[in-house]
Amino acid sequence: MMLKELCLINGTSGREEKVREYIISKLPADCEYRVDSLGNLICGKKGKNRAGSKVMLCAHMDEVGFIVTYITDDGMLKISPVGGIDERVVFGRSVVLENGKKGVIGGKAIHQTVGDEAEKLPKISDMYVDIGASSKKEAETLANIGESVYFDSDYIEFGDGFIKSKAIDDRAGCKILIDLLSSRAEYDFTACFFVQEEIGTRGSGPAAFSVAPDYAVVLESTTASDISGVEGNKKVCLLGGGAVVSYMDRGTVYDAELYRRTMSLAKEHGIKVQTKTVVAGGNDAAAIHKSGAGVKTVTVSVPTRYIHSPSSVAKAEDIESVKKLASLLCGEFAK
Amino acid sequence: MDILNILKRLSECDGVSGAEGEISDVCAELLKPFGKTYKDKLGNVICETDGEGDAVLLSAHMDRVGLIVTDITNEGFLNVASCGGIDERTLCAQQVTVHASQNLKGVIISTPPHLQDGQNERKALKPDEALVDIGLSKEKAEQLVTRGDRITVDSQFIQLLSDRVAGSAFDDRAGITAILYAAELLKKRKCAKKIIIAFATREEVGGSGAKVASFNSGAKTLIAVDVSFAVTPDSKREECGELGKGPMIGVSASLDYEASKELKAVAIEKRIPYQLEVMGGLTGTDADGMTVAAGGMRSSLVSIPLRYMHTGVEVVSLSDIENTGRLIAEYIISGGAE
Repeated sequence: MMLKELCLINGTSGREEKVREYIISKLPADCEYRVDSLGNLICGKKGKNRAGSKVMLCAHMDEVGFIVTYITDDGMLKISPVGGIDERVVFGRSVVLENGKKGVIGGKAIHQTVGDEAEKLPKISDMYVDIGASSKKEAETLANIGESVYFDSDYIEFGDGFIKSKAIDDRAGCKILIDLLSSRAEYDFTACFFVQEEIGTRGSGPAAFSVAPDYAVVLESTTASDISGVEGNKKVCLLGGGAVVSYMDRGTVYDAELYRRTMSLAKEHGIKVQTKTVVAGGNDAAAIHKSGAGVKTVTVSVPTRYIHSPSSVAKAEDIESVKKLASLLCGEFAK
Repeated sequence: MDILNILKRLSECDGVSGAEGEISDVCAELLKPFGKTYKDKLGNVICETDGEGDAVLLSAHMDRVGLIVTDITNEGFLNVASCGGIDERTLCAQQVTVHASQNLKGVIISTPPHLQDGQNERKALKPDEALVDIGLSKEKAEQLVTRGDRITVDSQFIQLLSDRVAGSAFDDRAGITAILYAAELLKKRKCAKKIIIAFATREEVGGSGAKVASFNSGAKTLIAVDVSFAVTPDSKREECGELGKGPMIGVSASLDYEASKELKAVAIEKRIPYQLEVMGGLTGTDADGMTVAAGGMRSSLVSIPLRYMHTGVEVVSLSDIENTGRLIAEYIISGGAE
């Protein structure tokens, strides 16, 4: 199953090579592709007709993770987050090193905490990965400074159509793009798989510059907080509520007319669609819309609970809605 | 005995306090070769060997920390409470198993950044704020889940470097493994002494299982086996033992001082690595209640050093389990538990 395989590949920002290799292996034979200087994967898809306007569909390959910054004399790995990670989803977890070996992140026992330590997480900079080593030398048999560390999390399906995994942000987008590249298209389009979104949308700007599209459709995963106890607009968006179209986030104020057009197109075609009720988050649209001579940009996201954690949760039907809307927009914008 | 695989098998059983069904069945199966094995009224698994004289009681606890379902919200999430002292700092976004009418997978909620004010930064999720997302509507959840169902954090058994392993419920299934190993050594050495082994329930919620097991045993001598703190970079050296440095022999006002000294002497004589764990008053283990359960007992406590207690990533060294088993066996064979 492709989404599962994609989510379980490890590839944090700057280390997307395995994700890229996997995607390349899944590209259809008629798809031309190139890898640019930053590592972005840029694919050309031939449709039945030549496009009137150039459309770029895109997603990012990287996931949040960690990098080994230091090895202590007693054999513990010190780490720094790569991308935004909340301390509370790190402590007391197992993690995977580059070579597939595992370690754990812990600290003094809860019984030994003093003051507010029992209720407050240590900073990630004060945490360490225990790989069972007793010395720096022993630790260096498994890990080196500069190597990546990942959440150790499996992919499961649970409840009524829910998926739990690491890296749903944004392997769900990658999966949709691969599906669209593998299907028949009405018009030509370009599909981009970006690097380095999680550390500040670094890969997408240069890729958009060289592709120079008229339109971009960013396929993303966005925070949903539709859990008990969270009321009204604070839920942001709902799992099962369909594709999430953004009008504004922390990186981009979207073209109002394009937003309205996207929403009405979705409704006309019976695609479940919603928007966010809080201005939050940001994605590659921030870099894309202002790249080169400017790009008309839409973001369509999969609503995702507990995003940037080892246990991100999404719903299969929402991923399907995002795919349908992306395909529709691609055709409409290319006309 | 294959210590690694016994520990793995035990640690992969559920058995949150008060719901020790699965783990007690496995324990009963593993104890059967050593003598008459049965469960008592509190669910403790007891094994009596055929030996002679006053019995010596060996005990460890079977239960593990977890959560317990208290209610179901209108949106189908589960409200929970702590069942045993689970480390709250590890709850956010944990994958869990709800042991309902069938095992259900779920995720403990994690509040996203837009809902956190500065004051809540790095704040642990309290069990009474933690909801479990099982991806079901209230109606469907109510068909499967009942208040009181137990929840365990999903974790894997991981082999780390050298002989260290990570996993959950090593507290106190490492102790159970050590006692099983001691029982095997005693059987091989044809020890004539009568041994009663009690694998107890409900230690993490106060130790009621062990108290009853102690009362029923009629034994006058106790060796309790539990886990204790192994030093980590952020803990106080003087409050901890060390991984891989052998069993921690308890020395405490509530334990028999002579027995502590005898255990140490046996360790030295038999060249078994050991460490002392000195406590001012009570031990925080089943030994506290067992010592005074009936007419009183001469009690010892031997602990296996463990890092990250009450999380899903507890770490122990297999050599410490082996040496704990050896120490107990040698101590009994030497006549120490008379």
